[in-house]
Amino acid sequence: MTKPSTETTTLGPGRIESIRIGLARAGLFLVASLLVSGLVLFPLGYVDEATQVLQLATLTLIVLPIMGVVALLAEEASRRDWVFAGAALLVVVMLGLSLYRLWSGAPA
Amino acid sequence: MLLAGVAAGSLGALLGLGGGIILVPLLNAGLGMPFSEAAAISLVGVLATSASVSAASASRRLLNARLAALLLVFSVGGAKVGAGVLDVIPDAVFEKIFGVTAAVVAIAMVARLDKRNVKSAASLGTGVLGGQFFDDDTQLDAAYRVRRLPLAAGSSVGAGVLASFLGIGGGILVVPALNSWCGVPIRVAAATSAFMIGVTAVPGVVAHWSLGHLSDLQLVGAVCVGVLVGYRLGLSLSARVGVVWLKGIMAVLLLFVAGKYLFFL
Repeated sequence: MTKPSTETTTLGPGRIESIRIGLARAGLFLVASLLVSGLVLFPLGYVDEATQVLQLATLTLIVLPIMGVVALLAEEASRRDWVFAGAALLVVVMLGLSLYRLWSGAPA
Repeated sequence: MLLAGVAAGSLGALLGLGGGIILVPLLNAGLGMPFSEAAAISLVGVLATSASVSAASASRRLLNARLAALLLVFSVGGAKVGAGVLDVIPDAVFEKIFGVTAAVVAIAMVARLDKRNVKSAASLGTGVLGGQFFDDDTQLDAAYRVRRLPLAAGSSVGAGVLASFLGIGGGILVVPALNSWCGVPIRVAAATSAFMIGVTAVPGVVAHWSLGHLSDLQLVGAVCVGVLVGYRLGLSLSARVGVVWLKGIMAVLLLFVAGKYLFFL
């Protein structure tokens, strides 16, 4: 019986990086689709729907870099580089606080 | 607006800038939009540029993830400080700061030598923060060591504050600092900065949004679509356009912008 390859099952730095690129591309596609949809809906008279779609596009643009830092955190943690993983975690916490304050209406 | 976005996106791909340094004067001085609203829309454009860069696999090979993680603590910290005082500083002050920044960037663009900072991979210990990469220019493996980290940290704080204040990505500070002072090769500095600008823009965008500076979402959408198209255009033009000439034209344009904000308000 062949021993299963660990290459595709282990979440090593290389695998995390390919996931990160895949997510970035999917995110970019989503943002582009939302932006174009929003801009098409405006002249058709669907102003409320267009506003909501464009708000979602802006929110996605905000979330994408945060996901990039989360992936960086995972990458450094998988390398057991705790100093850099800690730095990435601190950044995620700071960005999370900004988002929370947007949600709660307080200044960022 | 679409064209302004295309211009900003193309510059992002060609010169490694977020494009805010072009978008803000176009929106503010060109369209008469209040500076804070122009900065807010520009920052969302910076997010779009950053999303385009992140999806391109070429920049991944050059990104120094450890250096980015470390410097982001400083740039995001600076951005949060800047975002926290957005509502207490009048637009006229931001316009003066923008004028000074545009002048400094123009001078740096003309004066800065394209220092390569690379050595053969076998000849140098890279240290904890340095790295190795395949250098497309020499077709060899190259290595570098990061020096003067406090300078990089300081420029990251400044980039963060300016990102929130002025709606620019901050790459105009980070790339020259990393390349000229800290020993990081220009391509690695640009890729690392491109990753950083999107993250650094987040506190500023959130603050502007909560202050009501992103009210015209149709305009935001048009700028972002322009940026996404412009980035692709810039990538396809990068092999054909002389970056030295482009930098020269940009420098003249920025000096004009600086003069406008500093002397003709």
